[in-house]
Amino acid sequence: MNATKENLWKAFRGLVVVWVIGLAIGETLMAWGISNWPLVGSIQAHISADATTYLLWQAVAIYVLVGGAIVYSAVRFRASSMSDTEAPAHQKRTWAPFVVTWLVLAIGINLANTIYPGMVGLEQMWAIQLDTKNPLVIDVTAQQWKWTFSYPKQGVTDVSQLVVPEGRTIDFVLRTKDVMHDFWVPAWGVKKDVIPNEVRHLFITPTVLGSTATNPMIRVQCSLICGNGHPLMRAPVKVVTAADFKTWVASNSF
Amino acid sequence: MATNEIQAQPLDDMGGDKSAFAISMLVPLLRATFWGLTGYFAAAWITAILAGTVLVDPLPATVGYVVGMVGWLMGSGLWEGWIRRAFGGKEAPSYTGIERYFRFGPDSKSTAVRYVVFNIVAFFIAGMAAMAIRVELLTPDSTSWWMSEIHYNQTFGIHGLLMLLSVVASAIVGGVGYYLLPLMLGVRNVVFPKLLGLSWWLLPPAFLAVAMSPTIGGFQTGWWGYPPLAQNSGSGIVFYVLGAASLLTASVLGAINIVGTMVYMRAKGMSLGRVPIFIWGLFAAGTILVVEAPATFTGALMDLSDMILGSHFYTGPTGHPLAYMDQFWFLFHPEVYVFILPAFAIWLEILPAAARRPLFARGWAIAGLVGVSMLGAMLGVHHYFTAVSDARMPIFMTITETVSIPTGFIYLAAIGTIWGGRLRINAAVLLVLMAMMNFLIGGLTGIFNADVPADLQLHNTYWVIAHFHYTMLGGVIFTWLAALYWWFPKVTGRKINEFWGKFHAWWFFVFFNCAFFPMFIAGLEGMNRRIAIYLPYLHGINLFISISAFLLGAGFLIPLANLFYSWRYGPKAEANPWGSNGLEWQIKSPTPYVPFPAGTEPEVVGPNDNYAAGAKEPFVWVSTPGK
Amino acid sequence: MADNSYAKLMDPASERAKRGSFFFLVLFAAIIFAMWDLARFLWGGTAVPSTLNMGVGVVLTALMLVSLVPVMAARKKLDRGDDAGIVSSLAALLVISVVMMGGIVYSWGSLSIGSGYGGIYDITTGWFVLHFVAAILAILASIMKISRTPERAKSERWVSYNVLTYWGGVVILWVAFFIVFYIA
Repeated sequence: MNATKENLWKAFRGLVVVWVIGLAIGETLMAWGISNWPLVGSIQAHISADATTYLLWQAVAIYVLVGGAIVYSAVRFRASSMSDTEAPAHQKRTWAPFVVTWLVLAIGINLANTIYPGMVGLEQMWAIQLDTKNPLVIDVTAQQWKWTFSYPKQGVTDVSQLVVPEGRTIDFVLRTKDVMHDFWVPAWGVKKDVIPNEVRHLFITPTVLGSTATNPMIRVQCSLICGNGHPLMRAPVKVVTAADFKTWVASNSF
Repeated sequence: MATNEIQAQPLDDMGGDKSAFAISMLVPLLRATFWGLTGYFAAAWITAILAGTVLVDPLPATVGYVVGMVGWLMGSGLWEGWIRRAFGGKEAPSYTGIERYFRFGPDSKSTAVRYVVFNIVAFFIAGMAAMAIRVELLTPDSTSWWMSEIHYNQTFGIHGLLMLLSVVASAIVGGVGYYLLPLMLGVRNVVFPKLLGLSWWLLPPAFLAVAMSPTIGGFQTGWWGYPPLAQNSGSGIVFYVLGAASLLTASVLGAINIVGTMVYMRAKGMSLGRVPIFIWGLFAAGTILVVEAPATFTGALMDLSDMILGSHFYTGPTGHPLAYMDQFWFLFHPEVYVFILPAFAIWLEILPAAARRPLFARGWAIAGLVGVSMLGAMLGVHHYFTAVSDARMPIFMTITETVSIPTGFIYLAAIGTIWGGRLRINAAVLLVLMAMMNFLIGGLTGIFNADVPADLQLHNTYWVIAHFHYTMLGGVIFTWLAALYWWFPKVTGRKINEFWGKFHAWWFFVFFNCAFFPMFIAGLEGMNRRIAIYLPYLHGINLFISISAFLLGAGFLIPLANLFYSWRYGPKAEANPWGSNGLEWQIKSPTPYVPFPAGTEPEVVGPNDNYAAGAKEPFVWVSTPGK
Repeated sequence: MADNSYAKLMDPASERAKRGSFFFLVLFAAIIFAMWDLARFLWGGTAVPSTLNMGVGVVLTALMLVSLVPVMAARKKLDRGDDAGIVSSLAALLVISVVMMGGIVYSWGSLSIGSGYGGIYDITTGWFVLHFVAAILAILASIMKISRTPERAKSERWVSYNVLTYWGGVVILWVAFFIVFYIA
């Protein structure tokens, strides 16, 4: 009996070694991936990317811990062949330390995720919405299969290119003329469905200058299937300085 | 009487008709096809004339489908097998030999085998659609030489719907489940055998309708069927709705049998604590279907009604398209648990027998299965965080994240079972281990979609496609293949070829990960779903994915050949080749027509996962004269 | 070929199992109706259109409640082992089914399917029509089975019980429908 017990603790030490090596490799790969992250072009994109990268660190760690345990135990405790039918000495149906540790970790991680990045991220996004005193209002009209933008206060109507100033919070007012669409600029980190008979708002604060020509992530892309024109339902975007924006407005308004 | 002594009893009289296959046995199948097609075209044509429209319009197609289904069912033997008898007519003939596979009948085993064959055929056809999709995505714009945007949209809709409802929805629950359900519970058949038999016959017309929907105009909405696009992108949407409704009905009829048989028909001595873990998985899946399927039925029928009856539930200025999403996802989120819970339960059924250890933390495993089933009902909204009001986001985010806790119990039980055991690894066990690794990625990446700040970026991108293929293909299909290999001797009396089984398992694992892991990256790089044309910067990653996918797809020919060849020429297996203590392994293999011979019934006297040396046998055979 | 020696052996469910499991089917149907009852408020608001004939609705509901009398009488007869005695009760239910269907089709004429309330009313009552058609078929089957093969009807009494349970379920669902659609 003691021989069996000793084997299990020895095996566990081996598992810990696997964990350490696995975590080192996994998190290094993750760090490399994060350093090659696509463009993060708005405050909302930062919130979203922070949430995603945090969850990636965590996911890699859990994958190494759980996946490592699966692979290690399958290899360490494998029988020599299918006809090796001798029953193992260890026949217990449960072991409280393992179960309790698992429970505590599972519930703990879960609770923590709900708070951060979950609620914290949401609160940050909502705060931008609530605190904005004078957002730039842009009416977005989606239809099969193009986007049209109007700037009511600036007097710019029905343009097909989205030009926005950097550093200012924008209130996109989303409407559709026909079916459901989804307004998404990949560089800005959030998207919103556009629903018939309803009006939706999406708040974005761009932080990076650029255009679709400089980086394809800075484009409007419909991201809810809306018919055969769906893949080409895009619009070019330009994020310019406040001064350039004023100039653009002047030459495009009535 | 010891378990294996039951094999010594003269069982030839319980094996049923031994005649060899004859072409005449195909008559019901051919008759069903003939009556089905004739019924469809006649009814559609008459409806078109009366309504003053054309054959391919939605209303004639709908009426045609219903009449065609009735014709198909009648031709299959439903009349002489059930209806005639129910109205006081002649007794139904019971077919106990090979011919029962080709006609309607109440034998759960032949129904299950028919499910397996159907699932395999459906998997290949829906898989061909996937290959077509990946050819399209070899280059940024293949619409000029491969599929147009319209065809591409039709193709991914068909691929999604068929893979979900005619493969994963019935692969483990149906094919494996209906076969093992009575045997594991110690009874000869399910509670409503004819209803179960009927469920399979609903599948082929549904499958045909969805696959042929392009011939009446197709549907552009993908497998969701969201209005108002559903009502203005092709008449094929009616086949989408009717096909989906038929496939779901089949699932529900099976679920009622699962729940009813488990609750009312367990063998003597089988307390709930001694019910095999696979049955708990089926039960958890069955309860989901009974309680949640109704919502989606209503949504689908209202979608259809808007198309053919002129209602405006979702269309027009007074429509509420968001309500469809609520109805649709009310079932279709928990539906993924219908797919995976039986798969989890298969892991926990196979591992104890393979490792010769009891199932570790059995109570927690059952709590996990039931917990996921119950929580799953409340999660639907996470599929459309981008559409709902801010108020709904926190609560559904919180509940969705919580489902990872009971899911974890499955891994707790599995790891605890292997640890300290002597795990014998054949192809089936290898696939189970791979499924666990795949689902780990699938489940972990789901957390990102549960977390609203992350989801607002990742929703409707290739991240999601990768996530659900890791869970469905990586989790469910790997497990399905494992189950087919593990219980192959029980059904056919032979073993599969182990070398090719393991070879393909590695092939499958490598190319599956090569094809789908990069999709996470593509999603992060701004590639959204359901696009026939993508921007050039995404070319490299898509090329890699497509080539991996072709190799993945080609590899499936190996298990197809393995299963088919081994069925005819594989090495003969003894009754219990894996030395399992499960009740289904204590009777002859292949299972006789009457699994537990007349006059004998099993009684449970202990747990079925006690492999300690010198342990008492868990079942005794009780003589029950007259039964 | 066909051999019936295994038929009874291969249908091992007890009467308790057959009658108990039927409730899961009834539960499933009830949840569908519950969904539509809930949907009534989303699409139909809380007002009842003036074109809807309240009188017809009240008569149909009264008819449903009255139909419970032959159901309970039939149940008692089954408990006593008198299969043939329930035929008259079943015939009454048959007639009531036809009347209900007629009443529903009449009500359809007073509402437009394209309107909010009309659409949800039509589809819910359409679902009831389907259930009355199924009821007619089931009742006919029971009557014919009892008169043509009384031995079989006796050994499969659970079928008759389930038919009565089914009808009772439809009555309850109809009353709920009436309350939600006519009164709320």
